[in-house]
Amino acid sequence: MYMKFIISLFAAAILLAGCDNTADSNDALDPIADLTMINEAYISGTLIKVYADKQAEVGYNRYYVTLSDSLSGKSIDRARVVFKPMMDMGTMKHAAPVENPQGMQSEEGLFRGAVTYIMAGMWSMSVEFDDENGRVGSCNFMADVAATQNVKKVTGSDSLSYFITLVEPMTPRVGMNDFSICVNYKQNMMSFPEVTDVEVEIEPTMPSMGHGSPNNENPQHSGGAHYKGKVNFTMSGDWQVAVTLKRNGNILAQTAFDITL
Amino acid sequence: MRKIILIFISVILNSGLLYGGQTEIKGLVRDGLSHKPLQGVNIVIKEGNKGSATDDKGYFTLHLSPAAYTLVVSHIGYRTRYIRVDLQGESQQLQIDLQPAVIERQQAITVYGAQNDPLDKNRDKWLNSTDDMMRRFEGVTLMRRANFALEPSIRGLSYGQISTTIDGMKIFHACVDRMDPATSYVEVENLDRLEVSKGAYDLSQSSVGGSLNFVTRDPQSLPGWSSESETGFESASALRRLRGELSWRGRHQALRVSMSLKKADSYYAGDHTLIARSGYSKQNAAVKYMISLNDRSRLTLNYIGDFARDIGYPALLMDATRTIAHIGSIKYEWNPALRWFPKFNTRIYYNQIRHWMDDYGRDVRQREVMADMYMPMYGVATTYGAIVAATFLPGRDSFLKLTLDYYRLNSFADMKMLSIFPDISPAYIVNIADARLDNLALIADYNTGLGPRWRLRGNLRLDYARRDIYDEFGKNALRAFWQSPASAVRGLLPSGSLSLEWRANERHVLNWSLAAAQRMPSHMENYSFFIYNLLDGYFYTGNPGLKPESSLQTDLGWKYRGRSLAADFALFFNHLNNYIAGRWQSAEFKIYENFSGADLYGLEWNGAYSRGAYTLAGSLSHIRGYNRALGEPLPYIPPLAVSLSLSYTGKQWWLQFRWLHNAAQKEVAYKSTREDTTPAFSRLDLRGRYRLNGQWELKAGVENLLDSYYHEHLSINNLPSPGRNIYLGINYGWPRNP
Ligand SMILES: [Cu+2]
Repeated sequence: MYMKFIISLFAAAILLAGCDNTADSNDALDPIADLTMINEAYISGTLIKVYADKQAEVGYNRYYVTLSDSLSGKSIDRARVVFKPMMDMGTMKHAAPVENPQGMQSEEGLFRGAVTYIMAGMWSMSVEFDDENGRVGSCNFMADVAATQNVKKVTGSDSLSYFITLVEPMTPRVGMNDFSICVNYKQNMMSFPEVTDVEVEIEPTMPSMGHGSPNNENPQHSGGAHYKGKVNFTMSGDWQVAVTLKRNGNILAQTAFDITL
Repeated sequence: MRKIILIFISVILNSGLLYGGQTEIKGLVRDGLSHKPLQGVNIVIKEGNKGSATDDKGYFTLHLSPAAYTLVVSHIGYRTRYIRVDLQGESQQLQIDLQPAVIERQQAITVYGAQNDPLDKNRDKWLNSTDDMMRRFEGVTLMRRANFALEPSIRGLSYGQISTTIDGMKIFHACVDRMDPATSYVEVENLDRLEVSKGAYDLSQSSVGGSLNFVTRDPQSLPGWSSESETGFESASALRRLRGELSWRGRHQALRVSMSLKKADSYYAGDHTLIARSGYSKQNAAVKYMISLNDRSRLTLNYIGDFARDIGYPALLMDATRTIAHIGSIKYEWNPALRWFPKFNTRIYYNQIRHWMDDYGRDVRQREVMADMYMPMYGVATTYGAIVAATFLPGRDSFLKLTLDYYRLNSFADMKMLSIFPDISPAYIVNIADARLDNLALIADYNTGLGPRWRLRGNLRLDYARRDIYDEFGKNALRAFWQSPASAVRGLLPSGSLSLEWRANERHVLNWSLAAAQRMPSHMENYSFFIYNLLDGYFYTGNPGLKPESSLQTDLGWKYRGRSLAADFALFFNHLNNYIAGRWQSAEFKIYENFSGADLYGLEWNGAYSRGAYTLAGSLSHIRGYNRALGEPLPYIPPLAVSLSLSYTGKQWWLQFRWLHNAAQKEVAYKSTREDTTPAFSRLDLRGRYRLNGQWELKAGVENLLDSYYHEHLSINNLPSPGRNIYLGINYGWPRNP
């Protein structure tokens, strides 16, 4: 396996050398430069690699998948990639909200998706693919998910369970920050569909000081489960961002994220 | 023109002149350059009430009993000379040459050369503090935040709308809560005079409301040594004060050193109400050194150091623990000895103000805002600049002063917020994100006589301003409050004023002024961040997108100088456009914005009637302010104020009984602030001075004799004024100037 990897690297090197002048620019914009490879697998002639940009934690985790022909090393740019996280709690199993790469086409050689781990602990992850060469397989690994406060499970006024996940800011700073969340609901233990039709209101406050901040922008739906807005942190210290979900003007669910900067 | 002025001055002087079997001094006064006789020169005997003026051939005569005297010979446009004469029964002949001097702008705006003007606020009779000096000017009101360093307001305008300078130098506050107005750095023993311009008619400083310039004292004008020291006590705050000065003049050099120590405990308001945590201690030192480089030029080095500790600010959320001010300048004066070009001078200056405050001494759990938090704050303001001025005398009765005035301010302030609960993270903000302001102004001041009765003064001023902030942390926080991310500001601001004076006769002078002036926003209005305003309970944010505040104003003045009655009367109107105030941004925040318009109008009267040793004096000021954009009165407009005093001036005694009354202020900014109405109050003061002998003098008085409990309308958070205050002072001077 190691040898094959070396060979494929050589193959890749030769290929890259072959397309001379474009190589440099590809190099400069290497999309995986800041990513960590989590796992790789060879399945019936396809090499699948799974990358992440951080240690797995409760919340929104981006995954990046590359597919290539294990012999020629040639990148496979058309495929369907599906994430299947699963937590086995002994008496029961459950999945998590996922964002599978959209469409069949990779972007810059990457299939991008995300998993929202809703609980800390050991998850088994399966990344399945169905590529343009008709090869089908999966790359499986365990994710040791660290605890955070970035996912809030709230029972809505319609008695459904909603998962509200803080996506941004992950490195908050004083001033204006992008603020985004994902909203999913629990259909059953295996299905957490996106919620696309709610109005989101946010209100940042410093509970220790009893004041908030002006010029915040309520997150607007921006595709999938995502809602994007802006939050103004006027100073360092302990902040709390209250999030209210409304449907047709009626409060559906409320929660708050603690953010310290 | 000048003749009329001088006749009128000599009328005042001669009213006190006495004749009797005495020796005569005859003199001729000439222009030091042209040697032409000078008409109407003012000659006053320092030791006593006598004086005279030169006739149309330049001659004067005085009748005096045999003794040693100092003649003070002064004339507009010339440097005052002090001449020592020893009369031994024989008459004396003198020839005095006066050298053309700087024509100070103060003389151009007040009565010409009238050093003995009965309404001159700078005539010393009683002064315990610089605040006392500011209070003398009707239309000037002091904003109280503590029992320390009150901040002036002129005709309802304050802070960035007016200008406060020391010897023309810009000095900015380091405290974001304005605990440290520049008025606190010139202690009374170092204050030669206070130049007040009500309204933007004197454009040597940029303002829309007027200016205060504190002129520091020079070394004594006579060769030799002198010293003076005073110790005093004031009962309301158990204030102990000690001050002293030492002055020396040699052939080519002169030196003056003064210092002041003050320590006060918490003060009592009326009805024996203790205002907790309102004490302070303050030390101030001033040094001025002059050296003549040659006959025509001289260098002056000036330093003021001011150091205060543990100043209680009962009206605010915090107390100042420490303030340090270093103020220095070097001034070069040159007399080109040309008839048309008598004066050129340059001053370069540097000052640094540092300020620490905190609320460690407060019960933060009970606080309305930011409870359970300690908030230590630090601020620094460093200013340096240069003033280059040339005075020209283009005609016999006119002068032109051209000034180039540049300064740079660097200001930074920050604040920590430390919870009393250990599990809450400390918070931090930058209140002023390393603001750097450059301001360059070109000023022309032209003053000319138009025939025998008319006089015209025109001022033009052009300001170029450039400013930005450089602390990235603070800049990011501010940008979240702004519409546009740009923080740099540039501005080119022309201003102009015109005054026309008409001397109906030797007693009546009418003056009409008109000004169109602009001012840049203050650095706080452009760049401050998260500044709590007690007046409305909002946190304020600066706005670099502000337009300059502009003003169109007019003033009608009438002066009357009779034999025993003198009176000044003024009517004014000031329309402000792009008025800068806070606009609601969210539940807790306001941002500075321009409002379409505000109007201020009012009147002032002040007069004195003298008969023998008695003087009855009175003043009245009334002002109204209206914010047209918000449809409500402007905040912090002083109410109708009236004062009446009766003074006795004897050989050894001086006594004054004074009644002060402020009407209720019911016109408040009720929509945009929590300003409340203030009830009327009256107050009685009794003051006295007694000269024991040539060296010793006693001062004593009772302020607020009836111990009334009251607060003034401009008192922040309705902080009450001191109650009955008995003060005592002992002054020792050597040699004593009577
Ligand atoms: Cu302060």
